[in-house]
Amino acid sequence: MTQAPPPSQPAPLPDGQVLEVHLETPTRRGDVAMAAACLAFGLIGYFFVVPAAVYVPEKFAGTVNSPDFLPRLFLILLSVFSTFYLVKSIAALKAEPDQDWAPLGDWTLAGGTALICVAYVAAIFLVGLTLASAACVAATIWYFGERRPVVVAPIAVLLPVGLWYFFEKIANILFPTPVWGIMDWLESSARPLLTAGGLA
Amino acid sequence: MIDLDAFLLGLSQVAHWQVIASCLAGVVWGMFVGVTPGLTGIMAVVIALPMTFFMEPFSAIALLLGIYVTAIFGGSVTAIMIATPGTPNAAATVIDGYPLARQGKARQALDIALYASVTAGLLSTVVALAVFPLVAEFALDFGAAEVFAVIVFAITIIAGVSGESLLKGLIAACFGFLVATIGQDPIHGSSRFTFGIHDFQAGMHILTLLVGLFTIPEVIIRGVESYKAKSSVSVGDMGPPVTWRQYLSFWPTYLRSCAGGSLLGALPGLGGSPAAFLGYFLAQRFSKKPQEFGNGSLEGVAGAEAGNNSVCGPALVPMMSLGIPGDTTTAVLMGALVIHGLNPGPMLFDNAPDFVYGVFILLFVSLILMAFVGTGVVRMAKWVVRMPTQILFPVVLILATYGTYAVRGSMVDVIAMFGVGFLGFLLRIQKIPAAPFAIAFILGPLFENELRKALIISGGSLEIFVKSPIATTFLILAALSAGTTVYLHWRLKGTQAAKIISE
Repeated sequence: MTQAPPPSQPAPLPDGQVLEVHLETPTRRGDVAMAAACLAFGLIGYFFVVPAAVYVPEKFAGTVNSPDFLPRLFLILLSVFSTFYLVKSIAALKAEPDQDWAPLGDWTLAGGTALICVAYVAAIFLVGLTLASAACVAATIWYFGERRPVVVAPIAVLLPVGLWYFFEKIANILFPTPVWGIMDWLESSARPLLTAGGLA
Repeated sequence: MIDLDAFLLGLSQVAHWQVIASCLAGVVWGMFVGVTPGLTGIMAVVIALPMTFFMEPFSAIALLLGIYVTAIFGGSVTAIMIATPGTPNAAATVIDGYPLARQGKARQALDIALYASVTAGLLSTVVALAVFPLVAEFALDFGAAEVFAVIVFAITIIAGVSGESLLKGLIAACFGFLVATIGQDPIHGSSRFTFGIHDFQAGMHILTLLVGLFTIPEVIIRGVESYKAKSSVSVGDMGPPVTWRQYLSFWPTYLRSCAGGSLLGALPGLGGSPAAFLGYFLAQRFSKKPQEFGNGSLEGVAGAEAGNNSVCGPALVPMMSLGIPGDTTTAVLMGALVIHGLNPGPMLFDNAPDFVYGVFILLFVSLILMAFVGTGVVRMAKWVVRMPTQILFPVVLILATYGTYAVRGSMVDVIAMFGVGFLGFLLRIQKIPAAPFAIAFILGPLFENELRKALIISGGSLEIFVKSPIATTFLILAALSAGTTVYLHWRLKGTQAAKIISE
């Protein structure tokens, strides 16, 4: 009889190997770190952030109708739950030796994707949404392992241009103005061509 | 009783080629997203939402309903073919669907999943249509205290979607409630956690949070997988299709699972995953061959799929009559109604009964279109699941960015989306579930608004919640629901069922 694997179990690859997603395997040390971070967030939020970032009219201070009542309530609850989580995680860590962290390679790959996202946002400010998206989609496809220019290039060109046409020209949603208005320059240069083709 | 004039008026509004075409587009997009592991129904609706801003209300709702209905079935394709539920709703389908595929009966499993989904979806829509006017009438008695009690009842689902660790679910929910308080205080208008950023005065947009929470962690994790190995897989022989005799033999299963799923669907905040498990449980409980369950039972697939798809129609009842979303996807649907000037709530049935009937007729249309599109997808299943993730997820990343920016034309939203995404990634690698975060974020503002309004009305006295029989009933139900879920968590802890639910 074939036993059904849980959905978390990865699919078999064509060569019969099994792909392991180490990043999604929670570690006991990770639990301790996460619980400590949540607890710190709750306490710092309650004692420092709420007084600084929530304006409370004097008349309502300390009442259920105060604007800071619910943020404070949920920060207290967060701190309480995080304390339980921390105690439980420390007990689990002491009871059993911890398993390894995910391989460094996985963290590097995940960190690289995060860096591409950060660079993408920065690039939107510099060169605009369309060009930044073209660069981002090309970089991400390449980074994820698809290196054939004949596959990467058409997607990197057609997707951002298609989205630019839909949002700016059909939906009339103005994209953010970049520091270097390369797309505006490209558009003004190509305007005669676009007009001739009925796209402007 | 069904108002026949309003029903016919609703039918006439649906019977336009633009509406049907939008519905078909939604069905195709929902199917595409459903069969793609990692892309969920909520993401499909969220990505399509900005497109609807420029459509007529009925066309917009047709598109979103098509996606909503179809993504639930689509998720079962990958659940059966590669043991990876395309959406959380298909988590129960994998238990028997994948063993069937391994036994060379993938085609039968896919066929029965499709037919069970369509059958149960149609049955539950009839139930919802019949019950809606009664619920809408009942909803008129709801004031701030009553709505607050309903919200508290809905919030108890957080315990149900917390997976293996209730504690982690509660922590995620606290984050959701806290993020929901960003922006202007709803009563006094004071700024909260805006840090001088003007774009945060209106709070974090639901789309920003949902895209960040669900899409970005998926892109990062799938990126790692893609780099390490190509995602295309083969399941070998598809096997013969299901016969009419086999389909008809499961009718009692469809009816039982549909009844259970409809009941859960009508309760705010539950969604399709618990309904699928209830449907599967009922199928096993009454089966003549319970020993086959877990090892490749067509009846198990039928029960799970009938359960999750029977949620759709009833889930719209609390959304439209009370303004309470049944799950995250219906919360986004509710947002779409508001954008188009239709405020879901007790007055919707009085103000626009034709619209309400039209929505249920659209559900019918979506399910029928799904049967046709699904038949094609089942035949192409082997190729669909081979879509390279190296290309798919970069494209999803770009679409998510455009979708987030387009809502308010704000780069702050895009930055916040990535910020929430990185937080979501950190939570995910420690198995802190995203669903309670999202549910708390969606229900948080309602919770605060109604609580404070009720307390202002009562002059600060908590008696207002006890004086109203409706509020008291819902608060007792909330306590029972929370107590039962906590008890079940304790009983299921460490079992295979708990692990499947957590995934």
